[in-house]
Amino acid sequence: MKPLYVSATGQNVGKTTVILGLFAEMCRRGTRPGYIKPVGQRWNEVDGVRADEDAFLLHDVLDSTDALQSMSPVTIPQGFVDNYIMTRDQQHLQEKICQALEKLRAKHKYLIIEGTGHAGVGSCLDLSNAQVAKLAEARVVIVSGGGIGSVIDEITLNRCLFESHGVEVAGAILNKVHPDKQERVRKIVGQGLANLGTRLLGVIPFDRRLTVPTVGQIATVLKGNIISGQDLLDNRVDNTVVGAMEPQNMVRHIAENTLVITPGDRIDNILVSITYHLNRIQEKFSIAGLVLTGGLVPHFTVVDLLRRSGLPALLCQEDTYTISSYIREMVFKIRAEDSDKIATAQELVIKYVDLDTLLGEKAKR
Amino acid sequence: MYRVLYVEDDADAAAALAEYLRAAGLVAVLAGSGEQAIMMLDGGLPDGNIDLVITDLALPGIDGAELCRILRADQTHCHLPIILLTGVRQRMGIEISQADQTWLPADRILDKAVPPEDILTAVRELLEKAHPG
Repeated sequence: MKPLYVSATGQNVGKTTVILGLFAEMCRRGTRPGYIKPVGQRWNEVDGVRADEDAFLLHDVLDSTDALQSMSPVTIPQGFVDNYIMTRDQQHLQEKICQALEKLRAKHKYLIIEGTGHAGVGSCLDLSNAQVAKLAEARVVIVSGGGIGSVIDEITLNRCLFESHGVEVAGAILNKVHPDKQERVRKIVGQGLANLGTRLLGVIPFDRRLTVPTVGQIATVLKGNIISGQDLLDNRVDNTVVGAMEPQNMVRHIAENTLVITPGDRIDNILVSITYHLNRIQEKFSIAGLVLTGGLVPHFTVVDLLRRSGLPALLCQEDTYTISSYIREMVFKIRAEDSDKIATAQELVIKYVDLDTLLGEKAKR
Repeated sequence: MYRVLYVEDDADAAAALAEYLRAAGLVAVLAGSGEQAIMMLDGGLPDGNIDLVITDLALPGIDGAELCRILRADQTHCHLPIILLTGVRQRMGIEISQADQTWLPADRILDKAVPPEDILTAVRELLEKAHPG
């Protein structure tokens, strides 16, 4: 059975969401697939093992017994591209990928392969998604974001590169589509792609539950010092408010699971946040945590109140504007510990993607 | 002879510890507030620099916690060993410990109620670490 290569039209369109759903459905149908991300651009090193961060995620989520080196055979450190272009040792990298594929094929009837970015990413290393899909003799599904014309254009462009390498494109999935436009997009993009010979296999609506971070994730990205509330770092952040205004005005902006971003010397807003946290008046008016900006540490009596209240507070050196801009721009990938997000991703894919067609007749019950 | 700057707004407490430190062979210099301590450190002292700072936590104006952070952020003074003395547990019920380093960057945090020998031991250990050999 041909492996399935999950590619995309760009970064952060939701390949991981689709892959998590595919795994859940395949397991439900009695086939436990193997996973590989042949080329990893964003990697971590844990206990001396270097692997792509998505490979670490899937290894943990799937409770996989496969070696991480097989799940992520090639990672790209800084300076690697320059060296490769000057030496161009094609065989070495391709052999590493082929060996990893062989090991996984020996253990699994079916493989899911995760690509990196659009079809052409990796061309500079002779490892574009199209080339790797060809090496793996895989069928491809292209995942794209929402839209109409541009989405059809991008999917078609990506499809052309795969087909120029003789790779079969099974179809496309649109992800993060505005729920109000889901039906219109399904109808028009479905027809537009069909006109060009591509099958639309699913339209997944945008689901906020997949994007909300926790206070701990924000703390990690901001590299802030946590001065209180270590036990509540898993608090979800659904809303943010910049507490650069008087407290009576700030309270009007407090909604469900709000992260308050305020200078560390705005004791008034800090005390209001503590009060909300302790009273927990209603769930729809709740504080998830505090980001104290400007490198200003509140008086030690206030730090003591924060610690006693258990409200998570992070100290950051940057000013309020910079921090709130950072948070707005942050992209939070699903982590192994985000069990609620993983369940949501699986639920969405199973509900909105034509998995029978995508997985082929043999994978059906 | 090592020089210790003791920042304390309670004149009696300042005099008592200063006398103990002097008896132990150290030079004790007194500052009545965080602001005065910074002025003394920035302006330099006529007969030599300071080797270690002991500060009370609850000071009017710039308190001991802020003084620690100001010194740590200052290129000239960031290497000065700092001992923070607190009496806030008894007076205000506030627990401060060495675990509070993220916002309170003192080398040692001691309760004011500890015997002066413990403070002297901490002073000697930190001076030895700062001036090995």
